[in-house]
Amino acid sequence: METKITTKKELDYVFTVRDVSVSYGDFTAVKNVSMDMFKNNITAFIGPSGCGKSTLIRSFNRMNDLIPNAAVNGEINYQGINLYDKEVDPVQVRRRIGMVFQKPNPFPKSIRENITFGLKVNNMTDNLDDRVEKALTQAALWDEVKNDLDKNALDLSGGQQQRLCIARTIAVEPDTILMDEPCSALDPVATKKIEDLMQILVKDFSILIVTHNMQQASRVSNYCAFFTTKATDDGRRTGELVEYSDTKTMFTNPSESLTEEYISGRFG
Amino acid sequence: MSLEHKINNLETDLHIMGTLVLESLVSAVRALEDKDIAKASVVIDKDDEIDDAYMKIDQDWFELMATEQPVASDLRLSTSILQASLHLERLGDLSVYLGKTTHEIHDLPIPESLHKIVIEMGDMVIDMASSALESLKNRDAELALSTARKDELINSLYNKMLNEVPNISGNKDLYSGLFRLITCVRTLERGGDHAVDICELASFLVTGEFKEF
Ligand SMILES: Nc1ncnc2c1ncn2[C@@H]1O[C@H](COP(=O)(O)OP(=O)(O)OP(=O)(O)O)[C@@H](O)[C@H]1O
Ligand SMILES: [Mg+2]
Repeated sequence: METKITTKKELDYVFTVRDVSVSYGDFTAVKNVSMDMFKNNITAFIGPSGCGKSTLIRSFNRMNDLIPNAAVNGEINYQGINLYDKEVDPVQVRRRIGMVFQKPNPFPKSIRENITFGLKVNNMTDNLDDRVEKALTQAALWDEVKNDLDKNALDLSGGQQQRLCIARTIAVEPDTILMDEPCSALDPVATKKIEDLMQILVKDFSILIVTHNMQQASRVSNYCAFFTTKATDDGRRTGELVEYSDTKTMFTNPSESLTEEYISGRFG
Repeated sequence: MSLEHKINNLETDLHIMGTLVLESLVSAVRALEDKDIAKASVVIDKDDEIDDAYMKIDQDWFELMATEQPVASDLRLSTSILQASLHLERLGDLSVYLGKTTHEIHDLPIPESLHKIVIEMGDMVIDMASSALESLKNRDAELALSTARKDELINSLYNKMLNEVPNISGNKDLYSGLFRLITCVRTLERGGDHAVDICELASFLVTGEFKEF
């Protein structure tokens, strides 16, 4: 997937999302989302459980392709390329747009193999040792594990495992990292390490993070999108984008009363 | 206690403090007008009450920030309350200053015309402070703006005073009283600024955007 940049505007945006709806079978989980996400910024997705944050973020690297009966409608442009174009290879998409999940999920193999696995899949087998060191360094884990690279990854602490997953994601040199509640299984110390790491990574990557922690959203992000669910005619609930703005405005002077209620904990 | 409850309490404390400050300003200006040193002493003594009220708001705000991390309108309101309380505390200090001035000048010869200007300015500050608090309480942006505009009257009285002083000639006692009156109007002029700052906070609560008047 070669980047085709035509205008300055596209240079500034990593994703331009136009009227995107995602459904599972006949159920629309999230509908009519339009938003532009800035490159080399951290964008946070917040909103109550079930509003479709994970569903939407998975559509940003075609992870939904792996879920039977999931369908994405509308247009998601990634650096000027329609992600769902027939020509686009979803495996390449996932290499360029990496993902880190809620629960650290390293392979039950050595620390080194956790990094080299993805490199081998992507034929990035030159200078393997250098690549391992670089990825672990970028993920702020190198100093803690450099003498134990053959240790089983499952013997690391939860916070270390999550940084290993981040290292594994960035080893294949993506441009964008999607994070779905990356700290919700971590203690405050490990959380702080990941948050600090994000501030470093954002210089090289565009980052999207889903979080239920309002303080985390306000601490780490530059832009923030608030989603909620609204009841549909058939009595089910569909997610919608309510407000999208810079984080400072969101937390000091949001324009929608729903946002205000949610971020100040008076929701529902 | 819920966050709303805590912020309500904080605002109630602010208005209680506001009442104390207005009472002391009124007493201070009347004491200065009548050169009533007994009344002036009461004003000076009562400042501790105002300081205590300020300390309580300051500490409650601090605790609120630490425990509730308010955002959006909760953040704007609680922080505006803290800032308003600081301006009220300064207005309380102004009363003390007027009280001390009363002690210093009560037996000095003071030109009547200048004494009148000082009292007029004092009454303006009372009027502005009281309207500023009302605009804050009622979230009344129009009242806040019209009140802030009155600051020009205070400034023109201040200039009037400065223009009149060179025309006065007299002995050492007269100059000594004059000197105190001049520093007094300077302090009153700043009192007007504190009222204006409270008006800005009232407008901020209504619009969500901070604007200097
Ligand atoms: N694989 C799936 N098949 C069918 N429905 C799904 C599937 N995954 C999610 N949903 C539904 O889609 C809606 C959105 O779910 P999603 O997991 O995206 O929400 P979320 O905002 O990430 O919630 P949470 O904050 O709890 O993680 C929900 O109603 C959910 O039940
Ligand atoms: Mg989710």
